[in-house]
Amino acid sequence: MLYADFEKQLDLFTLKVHIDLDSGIYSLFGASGAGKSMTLKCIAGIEKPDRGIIRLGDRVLFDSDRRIDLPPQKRGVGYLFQEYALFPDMTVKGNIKAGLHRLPRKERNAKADELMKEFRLTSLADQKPIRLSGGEKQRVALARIFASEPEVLLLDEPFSSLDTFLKWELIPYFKETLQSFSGCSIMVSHDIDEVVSLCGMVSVIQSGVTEPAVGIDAFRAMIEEKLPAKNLSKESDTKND
Amino acid sequence: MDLYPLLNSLRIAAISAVIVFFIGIAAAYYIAKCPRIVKGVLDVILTLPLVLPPTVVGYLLLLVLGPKRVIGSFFLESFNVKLTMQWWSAIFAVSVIVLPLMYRTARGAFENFDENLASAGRTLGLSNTYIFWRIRIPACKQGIIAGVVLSFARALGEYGATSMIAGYTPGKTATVSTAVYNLWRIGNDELALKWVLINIAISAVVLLCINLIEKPYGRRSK
Repeated sequence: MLYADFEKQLDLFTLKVHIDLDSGIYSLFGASGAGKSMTLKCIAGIEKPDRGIIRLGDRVLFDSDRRIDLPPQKRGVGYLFQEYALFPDMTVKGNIKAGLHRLPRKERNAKADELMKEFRLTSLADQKPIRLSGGEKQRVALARIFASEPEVLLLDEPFSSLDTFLKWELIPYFKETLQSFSGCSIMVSHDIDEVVSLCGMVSVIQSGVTEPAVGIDAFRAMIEEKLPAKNLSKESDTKND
Repeated sequence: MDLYPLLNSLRIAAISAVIVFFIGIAAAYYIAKCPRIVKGVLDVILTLPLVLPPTVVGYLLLLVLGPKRVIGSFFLESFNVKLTMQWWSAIFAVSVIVLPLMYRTARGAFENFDENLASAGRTLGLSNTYIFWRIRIPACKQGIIAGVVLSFARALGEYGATSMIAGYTPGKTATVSTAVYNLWRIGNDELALKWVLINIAISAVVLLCINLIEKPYGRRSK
């Protein structure tokens, strides 16, 4: 469903991405600075690859040979930013309504109410983002993305701004939300436990180059081979940069 | 006491503040996107009026707007409008002098803007116009409001370029600042002092407003 094969010259290395996925939750796993966020930004159309092709279903989002480069507004891509990027001057409801702009003005209100109910945000409707907790912000950001009805979800380190305790509390809900989504999702992460508990397929990215995707069990075996098992949990506990 | 200079100063300052609001914001937004060299050059040009003596700005303006100069003669011949020595001629002078204040404060505010907010808006399908007016400007409103008020305050006090391009005609082009000079020159110290006090009072109130605007937001963001 999502096919991406592109290159982009960055300061320290060249990003070489090859992603081909049909459905489910896919993870791009790699260290900080490996080019994970840049990959998502290229798919979303926020950044422009030097050459290559990006297709979503039968729509071409980007094709350097044919000079196609759809703006982010036309890509049908939902992007969950690391710090959630909620609009600070709008209320929770305003933020969600901002994702509903393709609907006629009259329908937005009812749809926003519906989404707030679904994401348990009704009581927070008139709050500004600055008053929300990390988990609440994440729900608002997700509701806002679902409001725009994307075909693919791009999740950029969705738990990096939350503390470990809260993270494990949120993951089951997060997983449920992603599984209810009809399209596919790509989650960028440097946390092994996060990847293992949420994703079905994993592709490791190193210095900007993606390795072929493997199933989650193969990924776990690969990690255990590289790192002794007892170090695995220790490593992920201390890793919260 | 004839209050015309006060009225004239206020309207010149208000109109100029509105003009530089739009030009300053547009300049700050588009110049930030320019290639580095173009950016450097435009930045210097737009900031120059801040450091040049106002008389130099007035001279340069007369060089293009004067009745015998390019633009001035064009307007005189085509529309029979003289661009200098009108009350609104001062708007040209004041706007040029004040633009750097608005431009630089707006630029500072834009530089602190989190670009991810704009990117988020775009992936949600929002138009660039909507993102600009409903997300970027509100997020930068504190700096922008400060810029407008500061521009207004500075506009009220402009003397040099105004006196060159609009002159001093009582009841026509007189402003508070030109009135003070001309009243002092003819020895009417008493009236000059009144205008001085009025000027100080207004400027103090405006600066007080800036402080009141900045404080609550400053506290909230930290």
